[in-house]
Amino acid sequence: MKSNNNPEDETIDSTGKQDMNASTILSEDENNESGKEVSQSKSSHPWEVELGVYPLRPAAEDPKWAIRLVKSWAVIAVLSGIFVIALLILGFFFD
Amino acid sequence: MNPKHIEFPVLGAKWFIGFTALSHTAVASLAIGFAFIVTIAQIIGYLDKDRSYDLLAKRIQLFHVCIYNIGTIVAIGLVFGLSGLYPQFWSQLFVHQFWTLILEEFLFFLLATTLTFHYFFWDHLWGHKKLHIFLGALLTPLFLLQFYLINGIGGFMLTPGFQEGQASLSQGILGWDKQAFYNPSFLMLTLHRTFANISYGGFVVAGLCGAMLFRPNSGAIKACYEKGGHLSFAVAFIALLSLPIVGYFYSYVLKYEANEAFVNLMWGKGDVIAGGIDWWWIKHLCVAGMLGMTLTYFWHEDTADSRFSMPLVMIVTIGLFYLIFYMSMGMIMTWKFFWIMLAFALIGGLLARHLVSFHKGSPRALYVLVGIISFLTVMLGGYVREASRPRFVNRIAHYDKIYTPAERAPYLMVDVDPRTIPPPPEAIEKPSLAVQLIRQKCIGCHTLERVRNYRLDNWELIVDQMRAYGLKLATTEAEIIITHLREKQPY
Ligand code: HEC
Repeated sequence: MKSNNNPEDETIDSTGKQDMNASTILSEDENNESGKEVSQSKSSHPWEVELGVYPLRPAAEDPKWAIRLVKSWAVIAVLSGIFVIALLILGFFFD
Repeated sequence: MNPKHIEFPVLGAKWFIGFTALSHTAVASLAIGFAFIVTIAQIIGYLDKDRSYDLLAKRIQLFHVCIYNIGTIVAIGLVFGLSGLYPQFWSQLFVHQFWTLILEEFLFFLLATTLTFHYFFWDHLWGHKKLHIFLGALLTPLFLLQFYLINGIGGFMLTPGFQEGQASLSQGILGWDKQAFYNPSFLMLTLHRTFANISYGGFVVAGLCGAMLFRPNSGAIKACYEKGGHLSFAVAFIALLSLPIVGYFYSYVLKYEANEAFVNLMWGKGDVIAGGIDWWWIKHLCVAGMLGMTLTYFWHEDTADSRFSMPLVMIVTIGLFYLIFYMSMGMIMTWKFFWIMLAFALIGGLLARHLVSFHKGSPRALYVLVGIISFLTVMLGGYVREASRPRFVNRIAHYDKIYTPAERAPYLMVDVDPRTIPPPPEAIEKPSLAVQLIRQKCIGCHTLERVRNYRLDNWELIVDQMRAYGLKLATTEAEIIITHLREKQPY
């Protein structure tokens, strides 16, 4: 099993790799648990470590490329949605 | 020409389509509910700075990503099936609503991408949490739009419209037909499916949280799943409450616009009965049971720590309201319906109490049970809707005037004996206003035969009488109808 001793600040780390690790740990742990009934110790559930914090951080620490990608995508999605709505409204009046 | 068609082994064409369509419904219907609950949970988590909601939201979104994949694959299977097994029906529908379906595809692309970004950038955006929540919140309206488009086609299959919808069918429409799209049952189908999907998604999330509560976890983790269960159960319950009401108006539309479907549902005819069982009744047993269970749950819900609880006054009011609702259903259908639904609601209520007290106040078993029942309800609802509507092969005469390229025509065959196909109507021109009015207004309570058989000439009196029976008619409309009838013109 991969380390569960992830300190909080590591989960909040801004690098993509770290985060992927965190989420794989989630799923692996679940399998382990059902397999051999880990004791009810605090560390048995991957969420235990994370539950205590709501890891907001300074905006500058987010990876720039991710922000740019998500922002552009949000703009594209909103505009596309407006476009479709406009078509549906026009379609109500024109055949 | 002798019509040949592909035989699907064992299941047969109809049940293959039914099977793939229902499998698609089972997973795809979860999408809107999941997207909605993820957003709500993320917002509450953000406002409370409570990580449990956010962790749950992320887990649900992971399920959502998986389900989106499976749902898509099954939908492709359905499209393959329709293209091969009902080639004429399918290619005509595609020609008819080509642009609608292309837009649909475009929206699916937007959805799949937005969903993927939302899940995989979760931990990249802790410094831009609002942006992340916004990205997730985009999913719900996009899903609704996508849904809106497919409902135009689904509604059309149920209510092609009186003369207008069908007339437009025979004018070789290429790609977009506004009257067919904005058909009579479009609005009600959309409302019903929207609330049903939110309710279904919510109950399934609560059911999953309930299942997790059976596992040996620490108190903190349990509290986390309890919060998730409370939240999604409450969201699902609110959506559930709207459903019988929307359904009531939906059936009202069917009564006038798809009478055959209405009769099949209300009085158990046609494919609504399969294997000697009336599946519409079974669906309603599920609904009544869920109403009983959820109302009892909110009644006994420990209000001390839950913000998703409800005052007793409200529960009693809702209970009374639904009692009246089922009475009116009893008046439309049979009183047996009323009594059986009442009995199931009571049994549901008692069962809910028992389950909660058996698990020492934990609603986990109830969550799981309601999750399963909501799944059954959605399946049965989808089944009876498609089973109740008139078969499309009966409408073939109206369909075969849709444009099809000549070289493709020989390949467009359906499972029907060409000799049984009624001749297509001659070039349909739009009937006069008077004829339209008579055809629309005078068939609500009896057929036009009743009007044609009437030999006397006092039409003014007759029309007034019909208005007294409940016919809604403007005075000008009445005059137009009376003049037309008095002149003994055809209609
Ligand atoms: C609200 C329901 C309703 C609508 C809508 C309706 N009718 Fe009737 N109609 C009735 C009922 C009920 C009867 C049977 C009355 C009876 O048997 O005494 C009836 C009977 C009739 C009869 C036979 C009367 C007789 O004395 O034999 C005629 C003719 C008739 N309707 C014409 C019309 C026309 C024309 C329209 C459209 C403008 C119309 N109805 C719309 C309810 C309706």
